[in-house]
Amino acid sequence: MNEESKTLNKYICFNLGVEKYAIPLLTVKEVIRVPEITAVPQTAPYFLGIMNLRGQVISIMDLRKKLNLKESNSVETTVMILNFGKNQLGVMVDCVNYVVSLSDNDISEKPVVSSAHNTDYISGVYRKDNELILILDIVKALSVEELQQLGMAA
Amino acid sequence: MDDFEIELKIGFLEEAEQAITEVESCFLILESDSMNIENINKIFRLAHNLKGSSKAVGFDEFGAFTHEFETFILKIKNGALSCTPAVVNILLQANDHIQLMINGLKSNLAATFDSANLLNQMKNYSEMPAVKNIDKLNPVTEIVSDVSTERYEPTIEELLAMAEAQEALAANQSKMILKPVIELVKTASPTVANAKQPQTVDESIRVALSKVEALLNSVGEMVILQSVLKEQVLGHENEALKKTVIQLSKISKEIQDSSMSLRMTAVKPTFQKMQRIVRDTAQALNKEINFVLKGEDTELDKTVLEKINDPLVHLIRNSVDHGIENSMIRTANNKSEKGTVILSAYHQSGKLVIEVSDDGGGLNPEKLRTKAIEKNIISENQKLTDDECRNLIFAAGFSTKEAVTDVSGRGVGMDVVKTNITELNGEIKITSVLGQGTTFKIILPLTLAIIDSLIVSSCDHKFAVPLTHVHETLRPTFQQIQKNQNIGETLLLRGENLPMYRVGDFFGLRSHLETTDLIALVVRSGEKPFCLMVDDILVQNEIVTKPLGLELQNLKGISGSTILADGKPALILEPQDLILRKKTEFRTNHKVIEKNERSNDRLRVA
Repeated sequence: MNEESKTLNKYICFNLGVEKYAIPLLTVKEVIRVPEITAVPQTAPYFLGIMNLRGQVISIMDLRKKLNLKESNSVETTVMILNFGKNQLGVMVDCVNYVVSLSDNDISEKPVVSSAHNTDYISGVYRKDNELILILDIVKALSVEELQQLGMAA
Repeated sequence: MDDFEIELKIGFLEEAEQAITEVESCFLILESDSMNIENINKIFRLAHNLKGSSKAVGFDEFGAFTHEFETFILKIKNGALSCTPAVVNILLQANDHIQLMINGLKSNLAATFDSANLLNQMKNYSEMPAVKNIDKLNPVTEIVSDVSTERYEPTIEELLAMAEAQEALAANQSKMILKPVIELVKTASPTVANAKQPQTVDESIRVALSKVEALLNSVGEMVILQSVLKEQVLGHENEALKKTVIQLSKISKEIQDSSMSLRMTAVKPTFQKMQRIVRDTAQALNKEINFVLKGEDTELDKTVLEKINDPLVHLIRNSVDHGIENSMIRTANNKSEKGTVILSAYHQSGKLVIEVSDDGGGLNPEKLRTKAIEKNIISENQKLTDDECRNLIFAAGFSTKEAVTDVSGRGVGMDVVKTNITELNGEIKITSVLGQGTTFKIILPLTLAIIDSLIVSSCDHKFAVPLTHVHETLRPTFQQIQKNQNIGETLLLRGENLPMYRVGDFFGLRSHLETTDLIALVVRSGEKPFCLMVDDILVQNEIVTKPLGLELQNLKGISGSTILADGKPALILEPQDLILRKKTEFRTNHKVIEKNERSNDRLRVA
């Protein structure tokens, strides 16, 4: 590790289909297996429902559907419970791989791609050997403010 | 003094202590930001409440002092005094004095104090700085607070001597302030001498709400795990293990019950406090009042109960003061000489209702309107319905009595009432018939409480329906069902035609069951009765409401969520809102118009 690299931040890496993503570790409260979920009728397709986390009722989103990723055969096995201030939210992902410590130098800007999709929620890219890991801005990715309108839409 | 009165007084002292801590920080803001109107208003309200409650529980001296205190603050509020450091000093001084009185009263409920010096300062204070000796007085105040802590026993003699010595020393400047020290020490000494006398021990503790909630969460989880454990042990042969599990489940049930009850208290003490208020107010005004209490055993969340106290005091005072006419007018109007004020509490539609009603003169909409125009609350050409006129009394700065009495009528009361109730997510309604009386109806949600519910299923989804909404349940027979082109199916029940709504329809869920296979929950909590159709009723249970995340709080027809016995969450339905959900789908435009109208109303009244 060279001296130039500044403070290290920890990221948690996970899979969505064949793609690999990472978010800052500190936003994650805990990682659990997919619990029993109670569906909430008439909500968006990516809104899976509500779950019981030790006496607390928490909403769960399907991150793959939320980001409009292609359907894949992989099975989603894991839920990450995220902290947004006082509010907590669960997101379902395929699996959680590992935690890495990265400095800002390790993260390069996202390549400019012409895409119809809004890619605002990708804040950077980390290359490791042959792997490409996309760093997510999870607040943007879940459009947390937008979610609060969800009930209105239903 | 009976036990009950002592309890009341001690309760008040606890409240007062909180209030003055709050006031103190406000005073400090005042010094740095004297133009902060909100801050001044808050101080005024706190002082006003302090005055009101102290008189209610019978601390007359305390009340007299806080009355002057309030008047002084009113001068600042009106701009007659500017917030110079000297003024703030007096305020803080007065605050210290109140603290002193509280401490003194705590150790001896009959303690008396000499407040003349401060009273004079407050009464006669002008822009001239006449209070140079305040700083010198401060050390004395410190001694005073030392005395009032509970550890004075061993040093009582010393203190007495010390205080007397100080008195001699500082006789010229601070005689008036020192006197209470002597008083206090003197009144304290008998307690020490007579050690057998039981000391007033505070038997309640204040616990942060978040802690209670954390406890309830953990207990809920424990109960669920408990039932899982019970299942797992079924296949076991080990008798000792089984026995232990059964015992454990009994205890966890007990823990659950007692932790649930932590939050709930009967309204009784709060209601009984009002008796004193009615008596004193009636005496001061020379009126005869028959005060009736109903439903005192109704339980309410502690936090809600605490916050409803001040609004109730105001409402009751208003009823006695403004509501009930004097006996001459009453006899002239063919009414009994004695006025009646009824305070009642009951549950309705899953909410708690507290009513204050009197058989007095009623509210005169015209009079209120004229008054509001006078006070610049509304403009002259504004058209208001009678109901809107009555609601004017909740506007800030509205008071129909000219003279400022210590009973009511400074134009803060009703304003505070409304604010406090709105803070609790409640509402207040007035019904009044001119010449016959006025009823204030406070409707409070029981959101924090435990709700008795039916767990129902509809199209494989489980929902909880609060039992308070359900009047009866039945399986409709073929003969009872009538089909109508416009309103769909209706249920003919004992001569009544009730519209039937399938729960699934509101959530886009299709049920293939015939109507005769469904169960009808008859809902009568609203203005119009209707039936909510579900597939099955699974169980009747006490449930604890859990808040939903922000992303789900706007769901219409759903008041929250709960965790069922199997550990899975379920949504709690709010039938009244639920059936609106369907209507809004068909009449979206109409809803927008309604909304606009409502916001206009608010503008006009405010």
